[in-house]
Amino acid sequence: MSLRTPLGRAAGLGSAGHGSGHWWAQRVSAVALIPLAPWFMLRLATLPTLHYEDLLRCFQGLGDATLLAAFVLALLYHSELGVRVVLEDYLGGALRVAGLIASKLAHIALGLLGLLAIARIVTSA
Amino acid sequence: MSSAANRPISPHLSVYRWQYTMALSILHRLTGVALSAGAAGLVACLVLLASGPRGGAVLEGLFDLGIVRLAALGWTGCLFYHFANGVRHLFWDAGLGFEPKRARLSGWLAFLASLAATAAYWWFGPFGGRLL
Repeated sequence: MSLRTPLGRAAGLGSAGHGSGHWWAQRVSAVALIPLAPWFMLRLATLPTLHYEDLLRCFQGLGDATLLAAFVLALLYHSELGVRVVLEDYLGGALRVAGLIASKLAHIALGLLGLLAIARIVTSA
Repeated sequence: MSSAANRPISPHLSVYRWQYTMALSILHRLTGVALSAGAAGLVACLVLLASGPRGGAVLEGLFDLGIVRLAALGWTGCLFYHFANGVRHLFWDAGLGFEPKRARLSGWLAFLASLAATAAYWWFGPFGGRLL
C-alpha cells in the first residue's frame, strides 16, 4: 500500500497540459505542408532533366531555396511529431526513452544538414 | 488494486467489425513512417547536390538505379496518400465530414485520388515513366 496521495502518484507521470501543444503543432505543420509539398513535387516535375546542373539551378534562386528550406523544415518537424507518437504507442520503458531521444536527435541532425546543404547550393552559383 | 486501475482500457479493437476505414487509418501511419525514412533520403540527396560535380555524379548514378527509382515511386505514392488522407483528417478536426457515410466516401476518394496522382506523377514527372 502506498502512503502517497493520489495527486502525488499522478504528478509528473503524464503529458498533462502538453498534449494539446503536440496536437496543435502537428496540425500547423500539416497546414504548412499543404502548399509546400505540391510546390516541391511540381518543381521537380517541371525540370527538363534530373541532371546535376538542372537540379542545382532549380534551387539556387533565393525564393526557391527559401521554399525548399521551408519544405524540408516543415517535413522534418511534422515527421518528428509523427514518429514520436508511433514510438510512444509501440515502445515501453527504457526503449521508449532511447527511441524518443534518438528520433529527436536524428531529426535535428537532418534539419541542420538539409539547411546547410541548401545554403551551400545557393552559394555555389 | 484500486478501482481506478480496474477501469476498462480503450480501444477494444477486437470487438469492432473490420471496415476498410481501419485499413486507411493504418495506411496513414505506415505511409507516415515511410515518408520519415524517405525524408532522410531527401536530405542525403541535398547533401550530394551541395557537394559539387562529384557529388552530382553520385546523385545521377543513384537516379540510374532501378531500386532507387522504385523507392522514389514508393515515396511519391506515400506522399500523395498521406497528403490526401491528412487533408481528410484536417476536415475532421474542423468538425466536417465525420458522419460515417461521408467519412467512408472521403476515404475512398483519398485512396483513389492518391493512386491516380501517383500514376500521373510517375508518367509525367521527372522520371518520365521510367522504372527499372
